[in-house]
Amino acid sequence: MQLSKLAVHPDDADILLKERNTLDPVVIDKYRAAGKIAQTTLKYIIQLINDSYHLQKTEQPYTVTELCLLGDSMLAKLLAQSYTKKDKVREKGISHPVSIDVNEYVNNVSPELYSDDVKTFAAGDVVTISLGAQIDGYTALASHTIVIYPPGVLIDNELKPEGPLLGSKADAIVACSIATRAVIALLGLAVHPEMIAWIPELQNQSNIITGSMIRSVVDEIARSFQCVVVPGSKVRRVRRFLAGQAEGVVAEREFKGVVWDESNQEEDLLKKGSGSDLIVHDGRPASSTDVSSAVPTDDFVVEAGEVYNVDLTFCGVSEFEEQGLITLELADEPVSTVFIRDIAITHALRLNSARDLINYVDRNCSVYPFKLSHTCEAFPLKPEQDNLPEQIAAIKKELNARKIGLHELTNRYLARPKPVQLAKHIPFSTILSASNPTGKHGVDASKLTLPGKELPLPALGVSALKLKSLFKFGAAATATARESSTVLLNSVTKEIIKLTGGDATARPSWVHSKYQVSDQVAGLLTALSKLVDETAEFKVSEVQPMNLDAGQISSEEKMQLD
Amino acid sequence: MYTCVTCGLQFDGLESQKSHMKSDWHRYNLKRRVAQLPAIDEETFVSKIAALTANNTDTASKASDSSQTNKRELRRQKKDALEARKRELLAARDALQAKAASSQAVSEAASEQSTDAESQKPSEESQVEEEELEEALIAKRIANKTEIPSTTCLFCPMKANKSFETVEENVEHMFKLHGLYIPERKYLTSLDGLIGYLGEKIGLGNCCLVCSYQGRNVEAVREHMLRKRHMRIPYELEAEKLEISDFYDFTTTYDNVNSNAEVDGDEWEDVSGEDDDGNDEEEDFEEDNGHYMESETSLHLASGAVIGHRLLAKYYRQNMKPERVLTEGQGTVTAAETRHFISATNKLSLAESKRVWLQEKKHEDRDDRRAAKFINNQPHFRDPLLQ
Repeated sequence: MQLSKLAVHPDDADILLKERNTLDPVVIDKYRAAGKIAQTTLKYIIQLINDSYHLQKTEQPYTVTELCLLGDSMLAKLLAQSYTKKDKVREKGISHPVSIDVNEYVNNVSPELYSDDVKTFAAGDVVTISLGAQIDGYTALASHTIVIYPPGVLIDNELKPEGPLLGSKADAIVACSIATRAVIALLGLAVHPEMIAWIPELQNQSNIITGSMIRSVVDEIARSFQCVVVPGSKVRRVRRFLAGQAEGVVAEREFKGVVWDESNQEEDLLKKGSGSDLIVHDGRPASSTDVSSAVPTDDFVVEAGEVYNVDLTFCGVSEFEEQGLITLELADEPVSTVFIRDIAITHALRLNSARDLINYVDRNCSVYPFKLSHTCEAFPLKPEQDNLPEQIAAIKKELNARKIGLHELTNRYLARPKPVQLAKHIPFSTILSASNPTGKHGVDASKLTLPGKELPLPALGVSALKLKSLFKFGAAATATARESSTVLLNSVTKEIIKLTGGDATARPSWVHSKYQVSDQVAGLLTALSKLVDETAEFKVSEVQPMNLDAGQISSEEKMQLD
Repeated sequence: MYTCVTCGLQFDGLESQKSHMKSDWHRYNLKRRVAQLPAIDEETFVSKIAALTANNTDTASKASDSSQTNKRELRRQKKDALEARKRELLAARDALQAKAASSQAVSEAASEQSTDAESQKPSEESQVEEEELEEALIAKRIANKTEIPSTTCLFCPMKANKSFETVEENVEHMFKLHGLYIPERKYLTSLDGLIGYLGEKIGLGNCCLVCSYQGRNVEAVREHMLRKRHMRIPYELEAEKLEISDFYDFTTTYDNVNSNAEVDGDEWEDVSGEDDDGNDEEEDFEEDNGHYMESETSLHLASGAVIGHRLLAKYYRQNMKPERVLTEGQGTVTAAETRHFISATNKLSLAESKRVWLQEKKHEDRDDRRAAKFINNQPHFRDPLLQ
């Protein structure tokens, strides 16, 4: 491994980090185009799932692998159509490969064709689709959770599910969508600071939206729905080429955002027991890992003219009898297939295939994650052609040749795999009773964490390595619900543009939770929804997906995969 | 027998010999002998004396008139002559200095002398004089000018009167008889102009074409060139090429070069612009054969490929890592990066610690060696007293 001393001149850095992030019409157009592509692909995948699972239009249901590949192909196809002039936009591409996380899986499940398991969904599964597109570095990320229903009934000549999803899965989905809406409305208030005074719950603040306000609202919603905000959730500022795609690899300067991790659950626990002689968490990051501004804190102010990505994952805990910690375990199965290039590292590679691959990735994948199938020549798939099985076979063949090259890249840390994680519940009794001789000094080097978040439970002094050894005492969470939406706060036109998400594309599934919003936030939420729905000045617009070609879909229905 | 060897005489007795030895005639002969002249007989001597005395009596009579003022006058005359001589010398020296200053040859000596001798003389005057001198020289040259038309042979003496009807005939004559070769005939645009220029150089400047000889007049230069066989146009150095470049047109070859390798063409211009002297080593391209360009160390083919000389093989062979050009995305991520990487090797400190390790190892070895001396390697005990 060799670290190359890359440096950017301060003047250039100023241009790249500040000037290029001002939201002028050209930039907003690029953001919108990226959002449109992401929305369209999201709609496309939801449609594919609906067609094959709910309407049974295909002979066999699509597997997760096929859905990912088709989604990526769609992204690539749409990207190829927009901003075709090379001199205007040099870098555009997939900012997050389509990943489909089922139930307890939280992120990055995007199996390649070479994995043999043909995973399909079952009725009652909670399926999260995540994807993203970027044009000239202006990134839109989208995640949406849908529910797979059992075969439904015909109502008014339309197939409808028999009933809503119930239980803790439903709690998570409801809480997540409510929280996402609330956070977007809060962010929107940064554009209209005068309206902050209208809401009595926010009045005590000095007309600014801070990170801690966002955190308290989200936490309160989660609490009222018996949910926990899963570690890794965040509401963060998105800048050009800096959309959190390399979190844990690159320690990003001037990170601005709220990040949830295990320490917040620990804090909650300690607050509950504050009457006892338990230590009270001081809320500061561990002193040994203090890396200036790269450490996320809640002490920031949301400003107009910024772009935010609201990425919240909720996990219902009502089914667990014992109180416990929701944490993320690195899954053995499926293996990581999404990789992020670490540009700070160079190495003279031995294998030709590895060299080819790194060249391709540096040239075409910009600084965003890639899948091996993206580098194949047969990618993107062309579903409108009849020879789809041959195309898939060609990709499969290419993948086998490229696997070895990828192996060398990961061995040399030129590319780091994005971890496939699943949410796990470990009872606090287990954690507190486990012996912890090394204390907080056992750092898990393989775990990609944000700077300052290396120690999961700082007050209890439980390190990541210790927590890893306790996974076997935990149980997998029932399901996680994830909603991600990129929001653009236009300071000039005083408009809030939802690049991704929104009801038109990411309509919440039919679920029913037995809980309801607690009184602490109910007032705030109604005030916010009133503001969004009824106030004319508070403009919120959604980027609408493109019309999916009817002929294209029908041809895919006919095709024989596998 | 009494003789005089000097005068070749024989005497009867000692008395006559003695008297001869005392005579003027003998003394005169002695002096002649010293001057390695043959002795003269008495009659010649007498006649010589007679002639001399006749002259002497004239001057003696005049001198006797003013014998007293004679000496003073002589002294004054001498003084006048000396002063005149001195003035002449000074004038000559001034002229010399002016010449030296104008040619800027040895400025130091001149300045020293000028400050020594004529500090009272203002420098402006000398400059004016220089200019005047130069002008005079030029005027003299122009007055001295001999028109050599381009149809006349440059080298044949004037009396041979080698004139032709056309320039071509003239050039042919000069080529055949004097071996005058005109370089790069293919790109020559004005033969007439070139020969005219050379003619002016000889006729007006009185300069040799090849060396720095400058004759007093045309005939002298022509003589010089004929004798020394300096009858050619030098065309090797950059300056020499530039001197007659007005009469040439190489644009056709420029196009060729530019289409093949534009950069090389530019380099060529740069080099010629920097070095006025035109060193041989500095010259980039010596030949232009249409198909390839040849320079000291490389051969530029028409295809654009460059064949390097094996002298530089070690440089061609080295495999330099190409400089990494970051895309905007990579640049942004790098600019936002706050990871601090430990530099792989701090070379200085590493070298220092290596030296320390080496020294420690040396000391260890030395101690081991010394300790080894006192190790008892004897397999059995042998009492030294019993030996």
